[in-house]
Amino acid sequence: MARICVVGENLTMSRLLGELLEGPHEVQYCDAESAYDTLRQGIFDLIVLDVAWSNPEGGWDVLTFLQLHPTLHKIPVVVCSGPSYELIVKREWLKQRGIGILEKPFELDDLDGHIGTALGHMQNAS
Amino acid sequence: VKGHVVVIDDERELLEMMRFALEAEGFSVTALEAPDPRQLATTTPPDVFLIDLLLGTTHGQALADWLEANTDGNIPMIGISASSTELHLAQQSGVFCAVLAKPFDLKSLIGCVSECLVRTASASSGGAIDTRGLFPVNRR
Repeated sequence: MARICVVGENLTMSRLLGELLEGPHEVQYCDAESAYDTLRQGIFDLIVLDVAWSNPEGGWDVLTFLQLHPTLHKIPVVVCSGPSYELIVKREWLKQRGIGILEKPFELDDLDGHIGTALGHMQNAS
Repeated sequence: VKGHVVVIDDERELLEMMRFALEAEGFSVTALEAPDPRQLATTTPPDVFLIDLLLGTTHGQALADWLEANTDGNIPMIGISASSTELHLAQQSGVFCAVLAKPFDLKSLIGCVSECLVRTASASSGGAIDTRGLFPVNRR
């Protein structure tokens, strides 16, 4: 059972996404307020980050924080967002770093595929 | 010490992480969450400013304009933002030495700061400027 942290601007959004992962995985939710403290625990196998925040930098700031962190940068991340110009611009950068991109709206199979791929990378790395 | 960097970002957690990352790479860092011109005026002039373009109450571009007007104009500034529009406008302004898109990793951050320092040193000594890996803009 993998431990997955779902990060969104608010808990409602995080739960909407996270509930799709419960069952086979242990899921913890956090919002803008609790994101950094929760992530700093470093106990997760995967981070699913919804970057669609009212503050256009909020979600990307979290990802930058993770990328700069000496240990957390090793945890696989799947970025989730609706179609946006910023996602198009950043797509190549994300791909190069093995960061999954889940575009809304998505099918459950898409979500499972991204989670499986990200967790597979983690297992291969370890 | 490789150089003194003043980092300005309104997201405290990211600000502290940038401070940590830069200090670990040998830079001395002053981290400012809320840019107060009076505070900047009394801060030892840095070798480079790293400025978030979307600050809470102040626009990073306005801050950069103020800094250029109130310093000798030779301190390089790097604009950082997750907004492509803000980065483009910053490039066009001619105030910034380089812009860096969020998200970025440690290699990009250190590379950008180091390159700006090298470019500034080369420019002041009349040497060649290597802009590979940067998004160079023309200074005024």
